[in-house]
Amino acid sequence: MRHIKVVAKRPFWNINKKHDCRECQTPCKSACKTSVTVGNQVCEVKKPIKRWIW
Amino acid sequence: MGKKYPGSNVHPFEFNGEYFALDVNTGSLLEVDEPAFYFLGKLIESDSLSNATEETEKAYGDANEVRSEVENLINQGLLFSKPPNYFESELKLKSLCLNVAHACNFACKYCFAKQGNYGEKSALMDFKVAKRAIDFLHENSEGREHLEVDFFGGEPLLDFEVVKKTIKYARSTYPDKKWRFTLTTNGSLLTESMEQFLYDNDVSLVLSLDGNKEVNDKFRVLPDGRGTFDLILPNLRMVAEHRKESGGYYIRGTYTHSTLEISKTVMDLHDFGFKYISLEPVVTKDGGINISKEDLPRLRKEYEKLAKEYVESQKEGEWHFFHFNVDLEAGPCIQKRIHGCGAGVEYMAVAPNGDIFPCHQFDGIVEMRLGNVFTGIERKDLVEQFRKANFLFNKKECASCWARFYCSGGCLANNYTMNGDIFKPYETGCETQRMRIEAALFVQAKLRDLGLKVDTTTSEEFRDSVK
Repeated sequence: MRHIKVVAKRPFWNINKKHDCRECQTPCKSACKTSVTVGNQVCEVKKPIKRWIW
Repeated sequence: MGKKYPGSNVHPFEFNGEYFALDVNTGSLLEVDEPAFYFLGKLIESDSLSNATEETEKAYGDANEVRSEVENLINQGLLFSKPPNYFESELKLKSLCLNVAHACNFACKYCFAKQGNYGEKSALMDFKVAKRAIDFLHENSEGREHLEVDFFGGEPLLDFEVVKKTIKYARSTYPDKKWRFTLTTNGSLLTESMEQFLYDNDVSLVLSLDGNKEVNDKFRVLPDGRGTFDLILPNLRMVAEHRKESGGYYIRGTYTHSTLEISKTVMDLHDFGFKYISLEPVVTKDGGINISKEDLPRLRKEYEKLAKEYVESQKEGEWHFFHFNVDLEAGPCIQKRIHGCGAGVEYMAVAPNGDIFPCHQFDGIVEMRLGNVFTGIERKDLVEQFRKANFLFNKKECASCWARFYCSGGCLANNYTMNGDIFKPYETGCETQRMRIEAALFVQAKLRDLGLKVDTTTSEEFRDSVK
């Protein structure tokens, strides 16, 4: 395509759609403990072996 | 009948003179040229492919090629795609903030905790309260594998013995759980032996520092008014050096109306040797320091400058500014993205006397007291309110916002502070949030151009792991 380049293709589809384990870190929206957006967190299932939260 | 091409489902935006479009429901990111950007704007405005084509032809000549590309992407489900399947999750307690010290040795001028004591008499948490809080967390989190405890204050290192005993108690009493600990500190009391204990016990550290000496000392001061920069920098550097390979810390600064130069501040913090950095706006009703709507154009310029410098500096070595860490491969699941921080349900804060609040920012607000760790939850009605407020689609403004799957509904405490209502989003905060998400998407697109993806896993690997 000449006018449009696809940078990222359906990243949300790369997640198990029924997944709802809620084992990932609690996000603090005022970032007193974590950085604010949920979008920048990692999935616990995706990174099961991680010593540190960040 | 609803629109066919609503702006809530595709967000075209310009950043640093470049054009992008985000397909909100799939997270697909497109880099577009000016005619395509114009076409998408007109399509959203008129809700008609013919009108958008006509208008684009008038402005740029032939628009058929653009239209054909847009239609092709719509057919592929990369533009104006359908919403994902979602449902309201069952939220259960999994995280406690232990405000172990209602006291602080600093007197930061913007502190929401009113210089650390939350407007009450200074107090430290007794171990029996902390121990009971851990039991309370365990009792109310059946089925959860991971439990989290944040040591907060005031300054939690004023009560370090309780911090140590609490960590040991939690791990030894409930070895069936995977415990995560975080400690937020101003760093002034941090010694090498404390850091060694925290490191050995996998405690992640949030270290408060607002920038260089001039910026930091404007607000982060001792009770006698002296600045704190010279006092804390060596300690914070000691942590950064100790955790150079492992991570597990980040510098957390606050910016205000009078310290808006965030691009310089972040780069200064990086130059000090810190690899993990976050900088957040102060939220207060104090008009002298709060970020106002009038500050937003300047803030946008700052984000644009910072985004460029960040991308450039990644060529020299990886470091993290948290606002830019958006995962374009996968990231959190949809269920995570449509629920808030869990305040009042998944996450609660405990004061030194054992009183429970929906989060650390509600500590000390009498009408927000949920109960006590010794007597349990007394305000089930309030917990229910927070449960509702944590679901993105229960907030009208959030449900149609293009940033909904990245922000997931904003900070309930900020909503309460600024609007007196946990359901009513704090608009300036929303504007800032949208700005930084655009910046993050720009950064990730540019890093991909340079072949410098930061901290991601390929989707194939990820799909294999979720079985």
